[in-house]
Amino acid sequence: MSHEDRSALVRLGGASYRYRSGRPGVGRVTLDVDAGERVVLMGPNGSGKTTVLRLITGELRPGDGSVHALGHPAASLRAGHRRRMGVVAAESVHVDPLPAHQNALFFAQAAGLSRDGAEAAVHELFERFGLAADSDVPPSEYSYGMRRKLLLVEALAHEPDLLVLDEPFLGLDPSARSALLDIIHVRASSGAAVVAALNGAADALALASRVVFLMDGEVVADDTPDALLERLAKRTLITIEVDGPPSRDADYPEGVTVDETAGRLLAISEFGPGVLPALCQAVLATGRAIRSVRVKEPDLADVFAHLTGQPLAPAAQSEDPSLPGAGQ
Amino acid sequence: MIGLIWSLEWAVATRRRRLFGLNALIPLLLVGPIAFSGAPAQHAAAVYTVLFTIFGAFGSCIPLIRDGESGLLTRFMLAGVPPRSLLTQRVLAATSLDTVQLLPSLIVIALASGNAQAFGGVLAALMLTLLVANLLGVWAAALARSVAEGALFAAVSSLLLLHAAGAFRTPAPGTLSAGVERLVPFRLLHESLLAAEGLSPPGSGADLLPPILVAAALALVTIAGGRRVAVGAV
Repeated sequence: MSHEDRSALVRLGGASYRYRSGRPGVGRVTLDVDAGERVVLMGPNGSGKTTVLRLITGELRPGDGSVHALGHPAASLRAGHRRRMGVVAAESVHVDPLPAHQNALFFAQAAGLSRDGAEAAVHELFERFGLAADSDVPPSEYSYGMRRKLLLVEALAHEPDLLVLDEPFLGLDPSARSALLDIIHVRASSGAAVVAALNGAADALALASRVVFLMDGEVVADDTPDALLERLAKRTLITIEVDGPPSRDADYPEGVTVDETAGRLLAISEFGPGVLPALCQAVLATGRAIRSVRVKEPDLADVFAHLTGQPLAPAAQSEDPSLPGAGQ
Repeated sequence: MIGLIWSLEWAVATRRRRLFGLNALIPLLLVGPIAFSGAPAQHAAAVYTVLFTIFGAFGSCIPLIRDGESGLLTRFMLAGVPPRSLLTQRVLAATSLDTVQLLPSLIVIALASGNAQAFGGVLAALMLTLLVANLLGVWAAALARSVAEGALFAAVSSLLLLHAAGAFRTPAPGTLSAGVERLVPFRLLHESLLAAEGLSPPGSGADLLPPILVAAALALVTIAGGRRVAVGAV
């Protein structure tokens, strides 16, 4: 490998994969993840995030193109190289009926830690993730979130050089989320590479040094979070709940696109939240009363919708409306 | 790392006390009545050989398929457990566990036969049978797409090999069947059980070697298959 290649702990070169049923997984994905990078894959369900992760871990062999992890072809990684990886899959699979502590010790030792080293690492992580009091309980008696925490302990105990995480924040309480973010940032600053598949825009923003948007198995955008958000720089969504029917006579400020339904007004401002006073005055001038006002700055989900015309998550799952993404 | 899977298998088995107990008790429920019923030794030996072989094959095949379906085998391999080591330790652990669980049945047979000193040889033959049966189970799991298929493959392959081993009939000397019979490892258990009943002389060293070599070859091929065999079960 060249000097530039040496730092790339993950390299996908036009990799594609199609499942046995014929369903496309990913199509010609090119992606490098260097040491110290924290790359987040974002996209709706079925966009190929998990497929990319499984290509990186070597579970899947690419139909076309190449996938390298830790400097070697991923599909034929030897056990010694695999021990430098920490993998959190979407499913929480453990060795029942062994207690959680014994599960974690097993995976830590399988990854190459000595018995004493594994005990110390597991103990610390159990404390950080709030599992210490339940360490003698088998995973089958754990809640969903506790099983996810156990997976994280098992993936992190041996301080891997490459973290491959599928929805790592799923099921975590706020303190565990905070602990995980802290650990990931510390590992990355020590030179580990992180590749994570996430649906949550807030989690992605907290974790990522780079975000890759996937849609229908292809890379739509690959950039830092700040650069991606800059594409919607001042675009702000303002939601105003009003008393009264929609008005045709309202004189809304320039640079504001308004969509009215009964009792609700969605306004997209191209000039940021500064238009709020003028917008509210325009509403009041129509004789309607304002019941509430919400201002939403663009997030990564909005950028995704803006770039692809598709929402990151189905509308029913969102608590707030997103900035519409149709067209640019 | 050495012995990690072995330790894991024993830890899981001893935690599942009910299952462990049932695995010891259920063969005993079959063996006991036959051993003390005065059944013809030839028939009893055939039943015991079939029972112990199927016990080993199923006991290897079904957990392997279930662990493959659940994703546990994949987790092991992603965690850095070499597939060959995984298979080797799993087969050896299963063979030793099967031996322990079948010991009560063997003791009952020895007591009923009144020829306890012959049972050192029976025990050795049992362990070889269980090793081969567990290896058969691994292949059945690698080829099957479900637990039902795996059970079918394990049962059919075991019964065919038991037939080839002469458990159900004695082939005429000098025939191809007799030649095949010499090689099949299950023959040793069947013959040692018959010998314990005084029905046939114990085999000579030359007679012991071919089936042991076949068992060793099967073990090597299975382990060399490594990832393909383990992934086939995934």
